[in-house]
Amino acid sequence: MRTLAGATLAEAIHSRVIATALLAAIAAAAAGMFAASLALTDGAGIGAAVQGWLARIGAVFVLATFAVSSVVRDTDDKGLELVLSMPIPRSAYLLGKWAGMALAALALATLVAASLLPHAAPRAAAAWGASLFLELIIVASAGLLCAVTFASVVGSLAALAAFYSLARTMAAMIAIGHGNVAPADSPLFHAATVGLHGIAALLPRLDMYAPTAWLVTPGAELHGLPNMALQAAVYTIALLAAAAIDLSRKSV
Amino acid sequence: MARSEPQRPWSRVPLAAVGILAGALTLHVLLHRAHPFVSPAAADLGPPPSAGLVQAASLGDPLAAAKLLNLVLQAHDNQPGLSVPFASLDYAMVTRWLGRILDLDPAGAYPLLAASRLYGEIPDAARVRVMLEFVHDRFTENPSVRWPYLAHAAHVARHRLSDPLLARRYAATLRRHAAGTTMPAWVRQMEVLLLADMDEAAAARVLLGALLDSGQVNDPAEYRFLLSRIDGSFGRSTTAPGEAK
Repeated sequence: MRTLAGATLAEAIHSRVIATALLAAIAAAAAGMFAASLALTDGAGIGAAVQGWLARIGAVFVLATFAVSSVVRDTDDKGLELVLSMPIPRSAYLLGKWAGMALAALALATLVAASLLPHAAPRAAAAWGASLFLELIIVASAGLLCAVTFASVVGSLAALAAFYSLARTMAAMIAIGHGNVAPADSPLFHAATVGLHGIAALLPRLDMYAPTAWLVTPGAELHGLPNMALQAAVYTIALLAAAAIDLSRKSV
Repeated sequence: MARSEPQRPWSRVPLAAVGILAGALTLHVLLHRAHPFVSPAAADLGPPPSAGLVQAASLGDPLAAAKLLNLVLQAHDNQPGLSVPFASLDYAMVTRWLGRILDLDPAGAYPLLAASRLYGEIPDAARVRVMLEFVHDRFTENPSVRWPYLAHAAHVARHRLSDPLLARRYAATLRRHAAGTTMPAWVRQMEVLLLADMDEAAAARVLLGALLDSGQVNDPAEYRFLLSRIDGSFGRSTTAPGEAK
């Protein structure tokens, strides 16, 4: 498992995951500086918000693409068959890949948080980076599950994008669905609302992760981090268990 | 999905993995319940995003963004955990939002419907006038589509605000811009309707009934919304034309 984790991290480096994330962080910083220079006031806040938002999207995109392509490549290149022919449980492959991706996520989150230091206080940037790391862990785990399930880069990335978008926007959708002009007595609307709540219950609250408020509000309370860590841990375990179930049924 | 390889039987799935999945999902749902989406905290309505920003953010498709902005504005009225009374909203800001949405989506009726029948139906004459003026100011840009909202504005001015002069001004605007449009005859005669000695409920029924009968309301949701305003059953299930019971 340790070997696989190291190999996955090496693959991330050779696939220029870190380099791409670095470029994305530089581009985000440039966009943040540009936005800050346009601001009449609160330039630091605007710069941090723009940079943080762009950098987070960039990090998520880079890691998701790597997680999916890495597993699909293993399948296509018969690397998965080679690993599974060894006297190790299939779950060891998953855990090894996941550990490597978690290390890559740690590197990305550290890099992005460091790039925010010109705009944000070190404590806020560190907490934001830790929260981003947890978000990236969930994304990597979901990418692992999608890749094992769909065995296709396009299908997996589409599913992952849908998962991420839903998890980030579900709070807004629920709020809109409870508006007082909503046709509350319509059976169709009621069924849709129940379905929405059902989906929401199965998704992580990604909208709580890496909040921009931590970067732009001086003295913002950072107390949400333990809850995020707990939720990320539980959800990651669920995703990995689902991936293990799917992998154990593959006739590799 | 991309592979059609046969799968191994379920008996090959480790029970531990199934147990962990079930346990983790259960724990996740419990955690989810411990942190509900609803967290009461009212926030002021800020200014709408600029047209250029919307254009950029929508990747060159401002119409889609305009449709979403309708929901954003609507969602502000219904913030998580509380329903913000319309009377406590900054109507100047609401007008800016509605105007921006209308700029981005000139064919859309949502902002005018919201202005005339949501934000314009509160017991605050000053705020209602702001909304009515908004509807009046934007009517001339597209009289064929926007006449129902100005007709309603005239009705509100006459019966809610008890301001016959304002109502007649709106009715006169309707009449002046009726030429060359699909505006029905009864709208052109709004002035007569307003001058007639009718009580508010009767006038509202005439106005809305004529509008619904004109067949110009094609959206089922809007039809239901308007119908509920006639019979006072706001929120009650009604069936729009073309919809099965």
